[in-house]
Amino acid sequence: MSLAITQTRAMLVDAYRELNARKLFWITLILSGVLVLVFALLDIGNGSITFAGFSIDIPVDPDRKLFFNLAFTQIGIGVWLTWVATVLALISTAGIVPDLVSSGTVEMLVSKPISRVRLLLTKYAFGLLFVALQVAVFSVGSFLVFGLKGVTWEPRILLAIPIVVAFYSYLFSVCMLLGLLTKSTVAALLTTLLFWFAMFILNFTDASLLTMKSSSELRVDGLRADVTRLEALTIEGLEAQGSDAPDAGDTEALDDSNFYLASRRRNLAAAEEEYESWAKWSGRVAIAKTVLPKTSETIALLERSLIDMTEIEGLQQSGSAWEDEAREAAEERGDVYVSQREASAAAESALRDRSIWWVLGTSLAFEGVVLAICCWRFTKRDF
Amino acid sequence: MSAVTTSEWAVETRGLVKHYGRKVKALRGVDLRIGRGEVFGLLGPNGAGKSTLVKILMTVIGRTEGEGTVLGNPIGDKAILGRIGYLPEHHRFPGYLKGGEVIDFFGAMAGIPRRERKAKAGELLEIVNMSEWAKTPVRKYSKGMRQRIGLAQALVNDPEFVVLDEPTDGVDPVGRREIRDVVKRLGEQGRAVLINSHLLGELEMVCERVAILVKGKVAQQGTLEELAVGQGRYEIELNDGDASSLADAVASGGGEDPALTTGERLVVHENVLRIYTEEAAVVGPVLAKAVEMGLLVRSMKPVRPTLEDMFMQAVTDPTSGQALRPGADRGQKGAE
Repeated sequence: MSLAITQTRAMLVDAYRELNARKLFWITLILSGVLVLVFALLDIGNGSITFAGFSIDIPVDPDRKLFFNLAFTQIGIGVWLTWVATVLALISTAGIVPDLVSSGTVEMLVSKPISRVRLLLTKYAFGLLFVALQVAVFSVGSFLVFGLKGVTWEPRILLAIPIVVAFYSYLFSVCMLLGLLTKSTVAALLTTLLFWFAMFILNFTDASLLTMKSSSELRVDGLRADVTRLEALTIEGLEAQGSDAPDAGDTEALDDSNFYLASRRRNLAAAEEEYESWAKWSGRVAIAKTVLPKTSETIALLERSLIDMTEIEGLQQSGSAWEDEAREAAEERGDVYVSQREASAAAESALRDRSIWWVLGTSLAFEGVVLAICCWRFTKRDF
Repeated sequence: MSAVTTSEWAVETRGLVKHYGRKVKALRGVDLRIGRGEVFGLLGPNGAGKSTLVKILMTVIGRTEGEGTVLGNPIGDKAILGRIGYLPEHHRFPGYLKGGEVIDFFGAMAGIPRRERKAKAGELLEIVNMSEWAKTPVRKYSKGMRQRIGLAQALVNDPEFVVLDEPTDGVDPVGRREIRDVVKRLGEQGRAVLINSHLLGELEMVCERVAILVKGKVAQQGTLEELAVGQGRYEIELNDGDASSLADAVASGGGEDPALTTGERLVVHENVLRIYTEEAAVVGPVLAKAVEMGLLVRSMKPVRPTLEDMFMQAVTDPTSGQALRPGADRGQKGAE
């Protein structure tokens, strides 16, 4: 046991020295600090945004807490930590495994009384630890700034630490495997970025398909309601005229009596078909996503936790004149208009309905498989 | 004979085989024994499998077949590695580490507690003459300085067995001498040392026993004396041109009254006649013949074979008389 502690401590100190030698680690940390400072100097209220004493008037007067939560999730996490800082962290840590397995170094380490699996996983864990440190500085900084400014003492901000580290760990496991296979930092880094981009595209496709599916679904629902309404009106009308009203189930007789009903029913059939098609493709993409890491959705977990859907809906503008025109035109065609805003909100709600365990569990399972392959490869390999 | 005094060996291998892929047969059945407290030299041409053998012992690579023990434990047992010191060939230390930190880090990886490491690092830096450079990053070191630090880190765990792969590579003559002294001292302290080197002269100065590896097999193994048996010679120095006349006269077929009747090998090298025998009695008649022929004998001395002589003999193909080509066995026809 004391052997393991001595070795782990030495590897931690070594990992620190290694990162310390890479200036990028400190640059990222300083930039994180700068962003926290921006949050400290930024404020909103009474219809204006102020920054370091300068103020700009804005037409809306949003909730201060919502504004800062959005700033934290959208800019702090969404842009800074998940894009810029992640790329910088990947550049900082992509070399860990290629350096470990480089000729002349690996002999020194695998010839020590430590199992290769422990050696590799310790290096992996320390890579993540330093990313956790970066996120922690930023999140704790933001938490304190928001609290001290009197905006909100929101401990859920600190959830960013495990969430961003989980997100980063998916990429880092892939980077480690590629580093092990190629022994090249540049190759590992570039292929990891490519993989990440592929995940981004897959997620974008998923979200788009979900929006199309939701839009279709809303249209089907609208048309179905319309058909039911018109059926009732038709029966009512016929009865008022004193004619023999057909049964509610006799669609043909009803359609013959009401031209609008027939055209709505045709539109409904077409919309149902379209919905089936979107649902099929959306389902397929969801299956593909199940076995892959869900980078964007993992990050979105923070937003799910911090921001209530109804708060965002409150911010969005209601239907424009253009939308009203489109709605009228659709009604003239015997159709139902579904706005992009409604469809997006429905898709967002569907995304939020995906369980945290599906998002995190399947992603971590993917990571586990990648790490198992890494360990197997590293154990079996001759150096 | 050897310094082996106990029945237990520091290293014992039986039929070690290593193939890389289907074609490259780096080791083809290596049987080796290194005694405890013995300085053992491993030599052989490039590609003979020396580094492969060392790497198998150090668990850096796996073996295809065969078995063996290191300090009594089966090869591949990680636990034993804490009692071994290792300096790999072409080792590379992270450039951000300072000399003292290298020793400390690898000491910790070998499981040495912090306090012991600290005391040991100072002592070792002193031994390898690197105390002044302890706080300089390794990236600023010369090749020889890196070797010195490499040797120091191999000794930080007070090892029972030290494996040094080309320890004097890139080291200046003064440094080589210092490293030799360290190795000698290790042997005197009762530690087993395995040195893999191309510098035969150096091995000769420190090793008690050697093994010559050729094409993945041990061609010869034993103490220098054992290997030298039958390879001693006498050298008679004469005036220019006289050596070949004397050789002609004494060879069994070279004259009416041959002085050499037992068929010893004769080689003329410039003005020196080499007679391959360890029996002084054989040389007497040759000297008498020289006197009889009126030749001036400048000197006569027995010559013990150098390690280089033994090495060259081991790597020379007896049928063609040519030195074997470097490289591992690649499974051409005729190979196993």
